[in-house]
Amino acid sequence: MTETSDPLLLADVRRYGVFNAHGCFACGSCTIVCDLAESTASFPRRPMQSVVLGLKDSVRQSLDPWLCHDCGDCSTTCPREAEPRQSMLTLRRYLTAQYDWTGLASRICRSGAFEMAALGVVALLVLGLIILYHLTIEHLDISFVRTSMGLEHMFPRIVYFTTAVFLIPGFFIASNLLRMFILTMRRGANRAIPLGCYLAEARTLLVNTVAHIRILRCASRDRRKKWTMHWLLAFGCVLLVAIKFFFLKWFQTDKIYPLYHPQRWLGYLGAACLLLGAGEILVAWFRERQPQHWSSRRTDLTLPVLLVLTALSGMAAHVFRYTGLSLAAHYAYAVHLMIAVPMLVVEVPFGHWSHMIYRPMALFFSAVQARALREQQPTEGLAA
Amino acid sequence: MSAAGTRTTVGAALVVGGGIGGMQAALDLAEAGIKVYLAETQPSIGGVMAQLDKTFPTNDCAMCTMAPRLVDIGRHKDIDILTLSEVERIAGEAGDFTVSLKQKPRFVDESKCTGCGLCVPGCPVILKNEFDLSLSARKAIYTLFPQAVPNKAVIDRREERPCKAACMHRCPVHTNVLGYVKLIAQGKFREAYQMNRDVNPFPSVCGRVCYAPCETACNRGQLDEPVAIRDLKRFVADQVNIDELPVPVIAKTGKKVAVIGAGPAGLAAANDLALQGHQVTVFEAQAEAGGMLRYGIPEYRLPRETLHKEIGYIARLGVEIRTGVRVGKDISMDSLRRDYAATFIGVGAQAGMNMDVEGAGLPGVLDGIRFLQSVNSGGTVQVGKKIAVIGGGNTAIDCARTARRLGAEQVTMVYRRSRAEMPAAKEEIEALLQEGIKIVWLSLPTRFLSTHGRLSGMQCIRMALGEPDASGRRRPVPIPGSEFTVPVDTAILAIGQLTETGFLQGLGIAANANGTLAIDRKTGATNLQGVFAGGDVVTGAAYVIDAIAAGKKAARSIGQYLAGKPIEAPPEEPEPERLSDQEAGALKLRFVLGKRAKMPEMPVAERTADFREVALGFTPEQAMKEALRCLAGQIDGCIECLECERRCDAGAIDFTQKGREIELHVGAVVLSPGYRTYDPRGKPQLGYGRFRNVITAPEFERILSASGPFQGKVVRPSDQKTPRRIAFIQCVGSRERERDYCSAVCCMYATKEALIAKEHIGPDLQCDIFFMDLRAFGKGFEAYYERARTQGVNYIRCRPPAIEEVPETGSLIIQYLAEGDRKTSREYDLVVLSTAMLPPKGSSRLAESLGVELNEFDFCRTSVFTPAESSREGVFVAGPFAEPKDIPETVMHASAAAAKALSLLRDAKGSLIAAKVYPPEMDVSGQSPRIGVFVCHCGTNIAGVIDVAEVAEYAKTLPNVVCAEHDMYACSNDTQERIKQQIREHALNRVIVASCSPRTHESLFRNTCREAGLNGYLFEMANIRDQCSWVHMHEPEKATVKAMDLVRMAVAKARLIEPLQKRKLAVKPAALVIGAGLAGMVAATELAAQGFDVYLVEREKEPGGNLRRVRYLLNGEKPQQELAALAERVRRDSRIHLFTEAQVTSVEGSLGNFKSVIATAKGAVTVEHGTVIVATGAGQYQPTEYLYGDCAQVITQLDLEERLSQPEPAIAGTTVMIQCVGSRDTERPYCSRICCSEAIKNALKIKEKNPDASVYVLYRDIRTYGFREAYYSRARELGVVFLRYDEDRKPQVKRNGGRLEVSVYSPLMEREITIPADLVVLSAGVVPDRQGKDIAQLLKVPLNQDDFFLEAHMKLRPVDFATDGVYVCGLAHAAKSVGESILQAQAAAARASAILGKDHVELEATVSHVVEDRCDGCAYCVDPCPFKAIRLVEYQSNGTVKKRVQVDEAVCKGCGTCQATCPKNAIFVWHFRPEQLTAEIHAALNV
Repeated sequence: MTETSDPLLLADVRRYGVFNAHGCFACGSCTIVCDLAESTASFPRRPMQSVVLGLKDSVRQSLDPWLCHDCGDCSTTCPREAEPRQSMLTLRRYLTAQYDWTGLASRICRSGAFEMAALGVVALLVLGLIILYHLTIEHLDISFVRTSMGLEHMFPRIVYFTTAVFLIPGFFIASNLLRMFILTMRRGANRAIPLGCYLAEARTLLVNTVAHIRILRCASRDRRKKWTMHWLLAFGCVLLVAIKFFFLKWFQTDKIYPLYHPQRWLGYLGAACLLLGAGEILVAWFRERQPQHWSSRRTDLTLPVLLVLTALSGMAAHVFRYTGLSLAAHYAYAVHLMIAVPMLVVEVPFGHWSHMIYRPMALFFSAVQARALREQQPTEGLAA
Repeated sequence: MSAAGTRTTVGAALVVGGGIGGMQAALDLAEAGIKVYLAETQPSIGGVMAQLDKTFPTNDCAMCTMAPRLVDIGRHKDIDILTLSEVERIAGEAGDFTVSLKQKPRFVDESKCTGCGLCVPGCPVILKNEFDLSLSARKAIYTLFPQAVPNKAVIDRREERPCKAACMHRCPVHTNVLGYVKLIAQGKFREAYQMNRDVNPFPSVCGRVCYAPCETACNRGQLDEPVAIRDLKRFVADQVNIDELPVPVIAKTGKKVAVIGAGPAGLAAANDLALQGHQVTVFEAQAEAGGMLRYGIPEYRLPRETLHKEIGYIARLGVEIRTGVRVGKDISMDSLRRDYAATFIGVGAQAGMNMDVEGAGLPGVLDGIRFLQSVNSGGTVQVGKKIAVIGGGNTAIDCARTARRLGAEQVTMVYRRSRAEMPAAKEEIEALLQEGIKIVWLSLPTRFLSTHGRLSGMQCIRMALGEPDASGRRRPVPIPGSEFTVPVDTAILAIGQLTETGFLQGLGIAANANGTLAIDRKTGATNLQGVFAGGDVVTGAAYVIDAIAAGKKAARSIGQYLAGKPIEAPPEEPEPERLSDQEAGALKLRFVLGKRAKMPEMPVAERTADFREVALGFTPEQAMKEALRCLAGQIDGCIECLECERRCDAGAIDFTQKGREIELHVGAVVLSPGYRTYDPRGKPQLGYGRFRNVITAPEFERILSASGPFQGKVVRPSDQKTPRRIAFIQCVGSRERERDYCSAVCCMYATKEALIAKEHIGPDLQCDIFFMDLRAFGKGFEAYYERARTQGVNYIRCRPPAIEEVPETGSLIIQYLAEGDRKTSREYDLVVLSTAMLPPKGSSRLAESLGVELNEFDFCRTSVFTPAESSREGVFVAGPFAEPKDIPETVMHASAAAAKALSLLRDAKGSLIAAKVYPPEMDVSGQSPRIGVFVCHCGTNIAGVIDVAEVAEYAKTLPNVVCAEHDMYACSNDTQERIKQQIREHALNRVIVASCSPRTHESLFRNTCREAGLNGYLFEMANIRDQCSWVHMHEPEKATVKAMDLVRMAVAKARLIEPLQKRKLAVKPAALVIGAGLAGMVAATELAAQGFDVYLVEREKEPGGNLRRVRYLLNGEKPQQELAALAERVRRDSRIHLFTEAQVTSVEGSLGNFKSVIATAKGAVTVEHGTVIVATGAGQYQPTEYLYGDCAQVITQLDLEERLSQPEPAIAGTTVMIQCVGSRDTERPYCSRICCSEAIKNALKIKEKNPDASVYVLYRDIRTYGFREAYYSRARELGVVFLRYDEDRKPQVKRNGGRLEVSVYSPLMEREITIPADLVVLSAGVVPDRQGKDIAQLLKVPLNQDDFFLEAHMKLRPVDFATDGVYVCGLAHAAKSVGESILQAQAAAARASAILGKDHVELEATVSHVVEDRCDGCAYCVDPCPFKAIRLVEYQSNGTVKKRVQVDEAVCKGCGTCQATCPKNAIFVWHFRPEQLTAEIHAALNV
């Protein structure tokens, strides 16, 4: 296998965050302490050295950065203080940009400012739509002093809007996923992997998408807590997205539901999971105090902050509606949309949220590769 | 050097640090005429090298290599060693410093200590042995290592003893209580017993029945309760089987001594007299020996078996005990005095005192002593039912308790005073009462009543206490009318004892009124000559220990009497002191208080049935816990028990020593304080300190060493099992963010340790070395690394971050990345951590007190061009204090520092030194040979295989051998003294040492002979180490036989050897330096600065050599400016005669007197000089690979450097550097050392000029040793890409259009990587100079297999050649950097100046000699002579022209080739004459 070295790769990767691999002597300490690294998926040393040596194709085709769960043991062990953990984070941003065909991910991952701007633009767009809605549909008899917010009147229109908000990012992420698949699974030896391998590993995909059990294999002492929080967060997100998408009618209404109704308890459950999970990330971030990486890590905070704000604004709207403060509820609802919609449109396909697709996919692909290798080896052995 | 002429310079120097560097600097300075003070913080010089086992890459024994040097320094007349000293302050300026040092007390007077070591075994304090890195133990008094210099003991006294040792002073025999209690606390019970036995032949008796005055005196008693000293004594006595104790070998005196009475006094005297070597006979009237111990003390207090054993031991000492012999009856006193040279009377007080009252003679009124005697004799004694015992002493109590055990129903004691006045021991009274015996106090029998002629009662009277009497007790006064009657059927009187000295009547021995003998209390002498006495017979009834003391005292006096000396009283012991209240108060706060241990006893109910021992003795746990209560034992280090003082015959122990301040006037200071190693506890994941089998490399070094904690048996610490798998982890503490430097020596020492371990354990031992870059950059290192690999040492390129332990087995698990990034884990028995070199302990304090600057890692700051100079003028630096380095570089560095100091002090040379004076040589002509043979143990190096005692015994049987002995280390100072003493004592005229190699040690022993007045050539050596114990280590019997053979051969030769005299030759004070490159010019300027003429020969037009092509250095310095300045100095100096475009065409002569011809353009010039320095340099390899020469874009590093130093545009695009071009391959299997640093230097330059340029370095191992490492990190930081390739898959360079394409297989990424390149730079290696072979032939010096010049010794003589007076420096020796070349050049100058500064040199006497009348001038010998020392000459004889050969003795090396070629036996080498060799061969063949 021959590969051409690209001397500019290191500089390119460094634009995505901290990458101190120059300090690395390839001693291997990081990989040895990592409980997730395996002989078929060896990291952080190998991806780091690939970048240093300018092996752009190897880096782009690598699934390894996705297999890391960010416990940080490698960084505490590294005798050269080369911070492999940071390098893996940076590489995940780099890869997100590589999968995206629009170029937006690259901008968003490299620049926090651009990310904020993108979010802001979408938020303004949402605001504009809300204003437009109020201007054009004024003839509807809405009186905000009454308990009714007119949500039911809104329903037929908002349903298109909501569908668009869910489907547009869905489209982008799906197309990027396809690119990821082509990049990582349809190049070189991987091209020949038979479909059977994919089918055989379908369970891996399912388990990793649903259960995130890989976190539990991490060496870090608080892995159970970490797994619980991450799973709750993911569950909260999926639950809320799902009920808003499939049962919009429950929410886009002025009706007051009893407590046993799924609209109430499912919503509460989702919000609680969301707050707990995202809150935990934020608390941990502030506790960690790594000032030298604040600039790099700050962008990682965008998503949890947005999630918390989404939950809080949604809860505010809910509380105001149930307490009869219709006007306040209306404004809160507007704010909720201005947070949630940009988050979905920007973060899901181009931002940090994309990892919810890329990571299980990478785990799946990696498992497929490993299986293909296993199935290949015995025959080779016989031939030899 | 400012204004050196205007002020006086002091001709002395201080060398700080006594390691190998400090020793070298001291020797160089002293040899050149400077008085040297060598300050060392340890009690001995030697430094770290003394702790090493072997040295790389030659695997020589480190101690064997350095021991001669230690001895040289130890006895160098111009070197003063200041041990235990640290520099405090320095004042003044270069040339005239005043240095203050602080010297810690040694507590041993160095002028008195002989290093005999007798003090050490007695010391009871066991401490960690830091020399063995705490893997073994040593005593509080110790010598650092057997070959220590100065070989003087040192006491590790850390604080003052908290108590006053009152116990010891109070004990009548001055038992070392502190000592044996300390031994018990440390679990050394046998040693504790021995310590008791040394002063008291009855420890188990005294441990039971002593009245323990020590406990009364014990200072701990002032805090809470005294230590249970007596019970502890009994405990240790119970722990040993006395019957199995070995008996010492005692030299007999042949004098006979009689001892009368086998009681404690008599037996103690007999014991001591027997130990003095006298023949002792003890006469005892009773059937068994023991006296009162046997017949007086009841068995429940002192079991008979215990007593028998202790008496048995005395008998084993050779004492004859004749029992049942009553002197005066069976044998007369006169005949004793006739047959024996001296007599001791110790008959005791065997008779009971009677009472002068009515009825005292009645049957039933018994004498207590007789009563006990009859019971103890085993006779049947009838006692009644109601018994009264009269008396209050221990005997009375013994009687009472014995009577109880004999079945008496009611036993009552009657005592005339109160309980407080009772003389009996408190515990005894307590036990008595427990056993149901009543005491009637303040009563006295006045009449014994009888019924039918038998005792039936006792009339007593009550007493009151009056005024105190003479004994200090209140006198009992009868109360009139208070009589009362007690019914008793037996009364036992125990009111005192009398002596029976009737058998002495008529002899005229003075006696006291009470019948006891009158003697001199201090000596035990009676008024009769040769008759001594002691014990109860003198004092009246007293205590056992007092009797023993009296016996011992008399024995001492008898010894003096028998030796014909005046009898002196022993020195007065100090009075036992008490703690002051303040002291006691302070100690109460300091120590944990607590009650003393209580002696376990038999239950009261069981006691009275029989005579089994009541006290049961401590368990070991109880004893050790109780022993810990001793105040003296509470401190670390010496407890001042003075055992050493007792054992030191030289009287060298001196506890009054205080630390002292030393002020020295010196002209220069050389700092060589060495280094310390990183403590891996800083990396807890590696488990050091938690897992016992994780050790550091220095610890493993000690384990490998024959003198180490396991005597060279390679075992792991946890279970002393032989390891099967050992892992070495490199870079522990270095090459990290915090310490971004390489420790430079670890890769090699780990390799060495792996190889040596395999040698010890066998080829099956698996050694894995975990490393990142293998730094085998020094001379011969790469070959050593290759050798290790072929011998199966496994190198794994990974740095394991953690070690785990298998708790059950103590084995260790290491996870690492194998090839292809496969995570692998392996189990090891032992893990060795290669710990980093750190600056020496206290380096910052030292730097501060000396005013020198340190670098960012706290090493001493130096610069490339002044590598031996610190930031303070006149203060020089050497060794790892400046940068991590190995032994040869440290030695070079030290010589360089010496050279700089010599230049500074040139005007004061010789002003403060003394001339060496030998005693006049004895004339041995005409004497028949008297040979002394000394067989060396060499620790276990020889004695571990060979039976050295047998060899010595065998040597004694050989003809002419007068004495033969075996010694621990023949090369140690004390054995040297011993050899001299034996020469004098036995009038030896030949000396043979059977030890190691004459190569290293012959000159040492010759000098020893010389110091004893014997010609040095009357010495012969048998190498039984290299040739016997080493090569035949698995066949000890055969090795011993071979050693005997070698000794026999040596003896055969020694009979024929003759005294030889060395010739003296005047020295020409000039040097020839060949090559005017950097090294040559530096050497020349150094020598010129010291005042010598230099002929500097350069074949090129310009001086400067390779340095002319070096534009900048790694640290940014500009060498061209320095070079220009240096060349200018060379041209200007009137003492330097520079010949350019010139060549040396011939060199004749030898050390001190060379004559050379220099061919110049203007013709040949002949010069005379005393030394030669070879500085011919080396070249750059001309690559033939990688398109070099075919393609302009492929250049070498030097070409690149040239281009980078031009102002032309910066280098853009991609540059690929390829390392190891022409190095580390099959043709040139050595590392060129400088290329990695050069590549990094140029890569940094490229990046500095154009940060956008890309640089790739394709390497095999990056070898940026020492502080170069930081530049490697810097290069990586700037984005230089380092890509490793394998030797067997070298990179390929191809043309690709206008560019180049380099493809290389990366073993890390497991793929081929292609790099499009604009420029390919080859790091071409260093190749030896093509003219090297010619120069080597001219000077008759060797080259190594790579054609670099071969020095005399890889480690300790890195600039010398085996040929005296010829030195090497710079690249001619091996590849090295600019700074290293300068160092070696300065070192060469220092070595040369030691010769040039002398008026004359001595020539070796073992040279060829022509027997003129046998030589017929056939000239067979002329051509084979490798040194061209033989010439054919013609001469006239009786009118005809004849031929014969002549030898130039100055050139001859005594190799003997001529002798072998001569058909006429007309030429021979002195000391190896044919008849001498023939005798040796005959001896070998036993014909």
